[in-house]
Amino acid sequence: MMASGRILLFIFLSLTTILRGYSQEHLTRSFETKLTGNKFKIQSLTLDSRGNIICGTDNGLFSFDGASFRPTIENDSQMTNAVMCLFNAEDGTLWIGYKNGRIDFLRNGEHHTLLKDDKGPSTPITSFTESKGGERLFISTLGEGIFIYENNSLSRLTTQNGLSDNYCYKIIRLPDDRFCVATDQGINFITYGNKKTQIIYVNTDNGLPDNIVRNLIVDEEQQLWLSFQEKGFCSIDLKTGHINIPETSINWSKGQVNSVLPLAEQIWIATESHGILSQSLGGNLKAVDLKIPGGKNENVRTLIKDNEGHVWIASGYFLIRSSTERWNRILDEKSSPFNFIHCILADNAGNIWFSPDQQLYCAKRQDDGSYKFIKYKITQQNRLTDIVTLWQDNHNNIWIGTLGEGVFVLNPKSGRVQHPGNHPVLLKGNVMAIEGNENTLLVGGFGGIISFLIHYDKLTGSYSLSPKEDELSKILMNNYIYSIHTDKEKRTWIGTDEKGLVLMENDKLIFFNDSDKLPAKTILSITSDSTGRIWLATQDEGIISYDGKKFEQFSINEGLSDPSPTSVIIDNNNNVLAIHSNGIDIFNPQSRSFQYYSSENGLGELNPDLNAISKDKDGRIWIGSERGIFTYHPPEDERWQQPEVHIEQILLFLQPIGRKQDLIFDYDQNNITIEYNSSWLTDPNRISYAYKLDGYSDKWEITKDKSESYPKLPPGKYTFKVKASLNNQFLHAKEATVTFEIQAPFWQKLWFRILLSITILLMILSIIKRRENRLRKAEQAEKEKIEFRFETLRSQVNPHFLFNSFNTLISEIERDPNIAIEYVENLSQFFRNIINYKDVELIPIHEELKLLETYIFIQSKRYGSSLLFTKSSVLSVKDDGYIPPLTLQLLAENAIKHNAISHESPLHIELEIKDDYLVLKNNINVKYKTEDSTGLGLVNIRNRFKILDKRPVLIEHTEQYFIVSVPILKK
Amino acid sequence: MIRHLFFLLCFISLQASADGTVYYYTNKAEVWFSSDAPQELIKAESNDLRGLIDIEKKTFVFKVLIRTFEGFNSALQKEHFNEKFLESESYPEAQFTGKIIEDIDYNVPGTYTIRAKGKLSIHGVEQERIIKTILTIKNSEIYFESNFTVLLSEHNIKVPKVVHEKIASEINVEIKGILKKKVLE
Repeated sequence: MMASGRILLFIFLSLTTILRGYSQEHLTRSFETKLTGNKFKIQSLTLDSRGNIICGTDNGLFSFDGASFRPTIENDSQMTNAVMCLFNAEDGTLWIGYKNGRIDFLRNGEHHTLLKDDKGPSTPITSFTESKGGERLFISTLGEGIFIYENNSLSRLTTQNGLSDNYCYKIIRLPDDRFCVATDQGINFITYGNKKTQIIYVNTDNGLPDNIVRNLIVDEEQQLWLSFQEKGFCSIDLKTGHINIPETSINWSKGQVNSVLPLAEQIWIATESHGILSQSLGGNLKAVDLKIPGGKNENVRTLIKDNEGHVWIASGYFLIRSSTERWNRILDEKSSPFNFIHCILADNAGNIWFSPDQQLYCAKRQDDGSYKFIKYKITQQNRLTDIVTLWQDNHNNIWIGTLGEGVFVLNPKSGRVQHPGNHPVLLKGNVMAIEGNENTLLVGGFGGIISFLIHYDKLTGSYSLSPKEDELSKILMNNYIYSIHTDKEKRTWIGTDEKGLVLMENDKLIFFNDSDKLPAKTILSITSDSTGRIWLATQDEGIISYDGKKFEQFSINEGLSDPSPTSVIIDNNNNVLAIHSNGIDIFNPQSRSFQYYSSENGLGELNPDLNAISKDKDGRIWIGSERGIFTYHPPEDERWQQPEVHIEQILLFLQPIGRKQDLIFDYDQNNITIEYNSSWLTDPNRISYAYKLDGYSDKWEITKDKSESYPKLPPGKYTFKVKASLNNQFLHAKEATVTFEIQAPFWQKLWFRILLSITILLMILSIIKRRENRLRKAEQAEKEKIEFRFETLRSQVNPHFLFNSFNTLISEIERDPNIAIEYVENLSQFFRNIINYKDVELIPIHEELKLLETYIFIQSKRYGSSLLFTKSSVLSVKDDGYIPPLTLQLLAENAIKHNAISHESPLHIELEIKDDYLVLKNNINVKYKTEDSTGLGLVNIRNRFKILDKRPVLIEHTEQYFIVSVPILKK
Repeated sequence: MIRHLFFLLCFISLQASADGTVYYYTNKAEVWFSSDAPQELIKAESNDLRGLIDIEKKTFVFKVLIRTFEGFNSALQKEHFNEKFLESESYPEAQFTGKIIEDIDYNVPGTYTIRAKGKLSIHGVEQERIIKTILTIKNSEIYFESNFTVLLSEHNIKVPKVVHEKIASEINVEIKGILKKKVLE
């Protein structure tokens, strides 16, 4: 009951204190080391250059991609021996040491054995290391000391050289390039030199707790950690040489330590029979529950860190992944997780305030880094009220917002709790968000948002709030307010239900909604990053950022897992964490890529309340969920981790090609498969790939496959490009490429084509030329023919001939009319022939003969016995030869024309056949008076024959005779 | 007598030793073992354990002939022990050879717990073992005692299923004896 106008303070002194330590639980996942029904035990673990885990087991070498095991080399029976140790050399070679002393190495995907013919060690290989630069390989064995492999030769360091013991468990290279060997008789520091090797001993005489040192590791602070057989572990400061023996190692009762792994805030100790123990700085030794299915197996062989913040542990038949470096869950004093955390706050002193039920807990940070719980009761015992929001003011008091009981303020030192005022919302309101500064306080809840002026009495430590009447309260009166956030620039952002985003700056209100391109109406959580960019978690629209100018949305299409994240916060690496009901997404704004943590990683089914998230001053993020409190420790290394894709190998007709082969193929080697892979140990099934073959297609294809085949590639130059992503956004993903070429068959090659074109061109040219020649020849022949005929015709229509013929006719008519008739008949026959043979090219010889004889008859009537004509008898037999018409006639005419014919000097024309030639011969009677002669007749004949036959016309001009031989033609 | 001299010589010949080396030696130390199975308890012992420690090199050898074990519940059992399980005709001896990890001054009387690390060979199968032993030095004598377990499976000693309830898979072994100083020229 309150008197009006006066502020009565409720003081609850029932402070329940529970001072017990809280414990942290890592999130684990166990993988059974099983392959095709066979189980195997892991002896050694290492990371390969691609980020995958290589397991050396008692059954050979396997690689693990985060989900399943695969033998490293297929079908190699040699490899199924007990592997003792593995080593990744700087040049990428993987060295493998076996129990029987054999040493193998994997280089470029090829497996080799180092020494043949039993020349090497015969005792188990325990470890490898190399000198700086990789020239020397050091090999430790159980019983033969240290082998040194250099330039294909093997030398040895044993007790005879000063080594403490030939039983060497581990050799490592120190930061100062000396080597340290762990043996049965303490450790040796070795300065190795070609001439002289210096050995310094450190054993129980020097203060070492135990002589049997099983393992060595150097951490980032130059501390050398030793694992003992009986006395636990210790460290040696390499800078000072001082041996630090942790308290837990005095009276060590946990048996043999196989390995020690220094982590960020603790050291993990893998033991032979007590599982994994955790030693935190200044704290106690605690057992780490690995949650191996099928009960406990207390033997832990080895453990390593990967590149994604996990620790991998080999124990029995399991490989266990622990998230301890990043994700942990907080357990209460009974080692069970809290349930249904509604809100959580990391205060200025590093204490964590949270509320799992109607009570308020504080995990108080101790000097040694551990936490102790204190419980505060805020509300009256018999009332059930949820505490849903927490805020700390500048007086270090904690403001508590509840559903139904308004606002309380708690002074952590005194434990005093009070309602800070009389206003109904402070007494009975449903308050979802509280935020303010020295003077004003904003209280938001189901009834809108109210501003208050703060009056703080230093002496009494009491608050009194008086409401401010302003626009804000009026406008948002009937709205649910989900979050209030003040950024670095002192702007206050308010997230509402259905009314979008509201900005309050210098008492001015700005509303953002659809028209401003803000796609969301309901804003659940608001935060800001170091650049001043505002990030919103919205209902149904994912996360949205605002840079002062525009809103940018990142929802399902951009790779967000859930469209309604309940909280959003920025980690110290400037990445955005979005918490949603089934996991946590971490978003990197520069590359627009995500990391996902969900049930695969123990972070599923969170069902968190709104804004149950806070960041402490160490950068650790505290997340409240249905399943308790989870913490996230962002990596020190700011490099944003994403899966990187590598080209593994290329197959030709589904057979792998050798590594060294250059990638130029013949035209028929055109069935190419490219295999690629990437590693994401957190969740390998999330990886998808985008690939493109330049030269074949311009489109990027997306697939989950790890290989692409191109069965019938045409010749050309190709570049295969592939990228990997977790959220199907490949824009900023790193690309792996490989270029290869399929050569064209020679008939497609340029030089061939050019040659071919030239050849064809030449052929065409020659064809054209020949045709031309032929045409020309034909033309010429035609011309010749015409000329010949013309000549012939000319000579036939020769008036002289006619005149003479008629004269002869006249005398013949008078002399002998019968012969005159014969004469005229011959003459007409002669002229008829001329007409007939006008257009004929060739006539049979017997016809020409007839023609000739007709002509001779005509002429002989004129010249009488002064003209003699003889022909050889053979002539009449031959009748398969041809000759151009009027050839012989023309020759005979020539003879008559150019020779004198008289009684004293008769003209004898002889015709015979000789060697397929028709030979016309006449004796020469020189004539003084020549008739008109063009001289073309003979030339014509000669040219005529040239076209018709290869054989030339032969002309012999002796003193006595004129001989013309024309070849006999065949048709 | 001949046997133990022979044994000594064997051991010495394996070491590249200088003159005047100090050994501690015994040829009649005791070994007990017991098999505590649900249906039967079997015990046997031998007084024939021979052992030698080279304190300079910190090495040791201990041997016992299998045939010298007595005390079984029956003669048949002893016969089975020798013929079937340990095949003492093929593997007449059980042996433990190795080195002592801790550095102790054998001239100073007192009680020390040391680790004997080496190869334990039973039934022809060697296993790497670290066996804690208590040494009490007094009057130039070393009194030693130790107990440890031997897993039959580790030494390829097969127990047929029929007798599983009668023979334990883990055998408890106790040894004790006195080593006397001997200097060899």
